[in-house]
This record gives sequence, structure tokens and C-alpha cells, in this order.
Amino acid sequence: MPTLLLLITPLALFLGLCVGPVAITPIEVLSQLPYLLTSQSPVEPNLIGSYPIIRELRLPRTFLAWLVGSGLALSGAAMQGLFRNPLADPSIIGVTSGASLGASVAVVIIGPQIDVWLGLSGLVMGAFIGGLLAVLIVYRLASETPLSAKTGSLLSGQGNSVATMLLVGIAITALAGAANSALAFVADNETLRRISLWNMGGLDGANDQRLILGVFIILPAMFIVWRSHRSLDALLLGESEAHYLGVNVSHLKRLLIVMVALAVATSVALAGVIGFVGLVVPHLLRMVVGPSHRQLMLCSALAGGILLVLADVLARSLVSPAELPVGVVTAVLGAPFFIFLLRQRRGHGLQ
Amino acid sequence: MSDTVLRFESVSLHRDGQSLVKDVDLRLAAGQMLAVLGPNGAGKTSLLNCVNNVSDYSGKILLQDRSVADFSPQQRAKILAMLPQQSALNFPFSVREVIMLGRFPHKTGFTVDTAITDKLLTMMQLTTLAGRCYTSLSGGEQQRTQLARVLSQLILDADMSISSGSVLLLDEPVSSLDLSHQSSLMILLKEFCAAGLAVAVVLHDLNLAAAYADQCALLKEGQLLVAGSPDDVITAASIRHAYGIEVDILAHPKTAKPLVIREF
Repeated sequence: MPTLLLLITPLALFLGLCVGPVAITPIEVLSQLPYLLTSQSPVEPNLIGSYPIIRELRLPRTFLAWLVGSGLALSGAAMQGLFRNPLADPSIIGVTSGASLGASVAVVIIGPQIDVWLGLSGLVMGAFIGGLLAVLIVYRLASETPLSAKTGSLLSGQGNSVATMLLVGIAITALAGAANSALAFVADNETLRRISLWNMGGLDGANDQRLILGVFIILPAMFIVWRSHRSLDALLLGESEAHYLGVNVSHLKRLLIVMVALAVATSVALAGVIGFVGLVVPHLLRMVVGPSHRQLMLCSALAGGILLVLADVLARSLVSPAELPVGVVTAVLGAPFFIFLLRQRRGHGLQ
Repeated sequence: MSDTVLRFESVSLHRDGQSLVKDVDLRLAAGQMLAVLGPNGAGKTSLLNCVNNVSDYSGKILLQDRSVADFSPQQRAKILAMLPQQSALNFPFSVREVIMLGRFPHKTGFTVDTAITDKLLTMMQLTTLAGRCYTSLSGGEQQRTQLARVLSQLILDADMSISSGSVLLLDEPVSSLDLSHQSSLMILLKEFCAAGLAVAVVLHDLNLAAAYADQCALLKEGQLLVAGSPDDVITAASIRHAYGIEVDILAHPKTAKPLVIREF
């Protein structure tokens, strides 16, 4: 399975470079590859025109799509393991709603287009900070709730503290949602439209800065999460069982939550809210490769990347020259497919 | 008397204003099996949980003469394993994969881990179920799988050797097992004991305890009523005291061990 996904990955990325409102043949894209790799402008007259389109627009966009999709899917796999719940997704720790609120605050207060830092808009910064803040609040509230005191959770054998965190996450998500609606209420029409489009996800803002930011935050976070695969497997037995097996459970929880928060907050900041990928990709792959996290997280990362690149290709081409929000594409295609698979292998992944 | 590997010194545990364990002194020697007995809510599970350093107990618990907290999690896990009463596992691991999870603290590599798992599958009569999904098993099969997992946690190499002074804590390991598997599990545990493993096992079946345990400890309301050989502990008087029921104690016709007969 990983080999298959590894083979599909370059094909999907290549497709991402080929498809768009301006028709560029695959042959042309292929002959651009050496220039893209060395970052030199081509000298052949027939390539000069298309080079900037591929280099400045499609390349960062396609790779950002891969990075975001893969980060979301791997984070989803890790959260499903941490919460021992195949229905968990990365937003469960409040990061998505926090980022959403942060973005709205930034758009309403600073305005959408102002460069705050390194060519990143206030929206990106607001989303990133909002996402991390929300996770911090959820984590602190959950760990200060008496139920989740380390001793309590381990003695009961069922791991109350992740359950508490889940509940606090839901509460914070609701609160952030309400604050978001309040902001939408005071926002003018243009701002409102921006916020709501952003909430559907979109990779149209992709550029080199965003890609680089993604590479430097999402990839290391993904690697650190993946390295915990054995501990995550042990954690599926239960928190106490993992403790008896020698897992430092509280350390593992903290590490995973920080890394997932970083990866997802960055993803949401750079590409908006993209649902479905983080929940469903690991869920589906668990049916194929089993629940063991080494394979599951690897395959999720690869498949999530492929899925979002392809979804973005569709988002760009279905109503060309306009664009659909990519979150709409992932949901419209993914949800029926998911239901189909669930009906094929009823209950296998859930029970 | 052989070496003490696990020692409780005036251990007490309080939670929410209730005292779950009161001032318990107990020793477990290498190679011995200790049956922890007592009515529901007597503090048997709480006592075992103290060992893994998950509870803020008062008093001392020494594992190989060191405080449990002095071990690194991995060091500790190689010599101290615990099987809780219930399992929260609801992910579709195969039986083999669940047992392999027990190898977490060891860095013996896939080949050795597989060899150990194969042997445990045979010992626990799980070979035919090796590829089955854990969540589709019956309660007893799940319990045997989990037992194989905690055993694999203590095994050092493919020769199935264990570190001297290792301790295995089992919380009601036979609660879902049929009569035949109950006996074969106890016999298997005795074989590990012969190799030096110390086992503390919570049991409700006093006859099973009498037949296999070297030592018994009878708890009631967090207090240790009596500890000692099965003959000393399983008496009509102590059972009346602990459980509030009348029993007759006979000698087992074959083994001469105490045999508890309930009055109905």
C-alpha cells in the first residue's frame, strides 16, 4: 500500500502542474521540469510564456496542497489514536475553530490584505495564532479539571483526561463558533464573504512564502508525530495499559497535541478550513492497512497529500475559469465515497 | 524463604475522603504466586494499582528493594507487568498484533518478537486465532490474548527467559475463562513461577487460589485481614469474617489443599 501511494504521489503532483485555466500540455510541463528544479528561466521561446504560470502559481499551489492534505490526514490518524476513537479528527482539540476565529478577528480588525510579516497577510497570522491559542486553552482547562488528574485517569483505567479534553474541545469549539458568528454579524458584506469563503478552504493564496512556511512547520511536526507510532499503538490498549508498558503517557499526549496543533494551525492558516481529509483518510486506510500506526500514519500522509492535490485540481478545473472552494470538493466527493465504503465493510473500522 | 521482590510497607491509599487501602504490609518472593482475595470493593485492584506508581499512596512499595518511581518507565516495564480487569481496546488489531504490543519496552527486533509471540500463541492455545480481529473475539479469548500480551512484556529473548525478580500483577485474569482454560492458565503461570517470576493474582475462586497459590492475602475494606499459606488463610473463620458467609472447609481428596464448600 505505501509503495502504491508513493507511485501515485508524483503522478498527482504532475497532474497538479498540468491542469489549470491556461492550457499547458504535459509535454510542455515535462520540458519545464529541469528549469523548475534549478529555478532558472527557460530560454526556449515556447516555454517562456508558460514558465511563470507553472513556477509562480501552480508549483507552490500543488505542493502546498500536498503538504496540507498530508499534514491533516496524518494529524487525523494521530488524534484518532490519542483519543482511541476512529471518529476523532484534528479539529477535536479546538485548533480549527480557534484558527477560524483568529482569522475572522484579523480580517475584521486589521483587514485582509495587509502584510504583517514575511509577506503573510493578517488573516494567515491571525489563524495561526488563534489555532494555537485555542489548543492551549483546551489543554490547560482539561488538565486542570479534577477528573483528569493523572492519578484519576489511570486508576479508572479508561483514561478520563482525553475524554475531558474532548469535551472541553467541543465547548471551546462552540464558543469560538459563537464568537465567529458575532464577528460575522458586525462585519460588512465584503469581509463576511471573505470569512465564509475562507471557512470553505482554498489554496488560491499559495505562494513561495506560504509553501516555505508550510515546509518548515508542517513537515517536521509530521515527522515527530510519526516517530511516536509505537507509543500510539500501545495507547490504543488504554492509558493505564500504555503506562504499564512503559509509555510516558503524559509526555506523549503533550508532544502529540503540540505537534498536531502546529501542523493543523499552519494548514488552516495557509489553506483555510478543509474538512473531511483529517477524519476520513485515516479512517479508510485503517480498513486497508489495519490500525498499527507505523503503516497507518505513513499511508495517511501519502493518501491525504494525493487526495488534496487531486481535489484542488478539480476545484480549479470544474468551473474554470472560476474556482470552487477546495473544502467543498473534498466533502462532495469524499462523503458519498465514505458512506459507500462503510456500507461495504460494515462496522469493521468502528467496532 | 526466597528473596522478596515486591514489598508493601504500610501502604495506604485515600481517594475522595475514602480510604481504599489501609496500612497494608505484604511481601512477594521470587518464584511465588500470591493470590489476593477478598470481597468486592475490598481494595484488591487499588492495591495492585499502587504498585505501578499511578496512585498517590502513602507508605512504601519496593520493587527489587528500590522504589518503583526510581525506575525509568522502560526499565520498570521490563520487570513489572500488569493486566487490568477490563480492556479498552476497540481497534481492529489481530490477536498476533495485540501480543506484539507487549514487546513495546524491548528492542529485540521483529524476528525475536515474532518468535516469542508464536510461542505465547501456542502456550495460550491461541494459534488458530492468531489472525483473527481482536474485537471479534469472545470475552474469554480476549482475556487470553491480553494475558499473552502481558507475558510477552516480561520475556527477554526467544528462549523465553525472564529477568530474575520480575513481577506480574493480574487483576482477575480468569474471570471470563472456562474451567479448562482456568486450569491451564494457572499451570502455565506456575511454570513461569518456576523460572523465577513472581505473580500476584486477584482471584474470586477460593478453590483455585487454594490449589495453585503459594501464598494468599485476604483483604476486607482496604485492610489486610490475614496473609500466609492457603491453609492459614482459607479457613471458615476468616471467610466468615471477610465475606460474611458460612462455609465448610474440607481437604481436597487428591491434593489435601483446602476445599471451600458453601452452605446453601
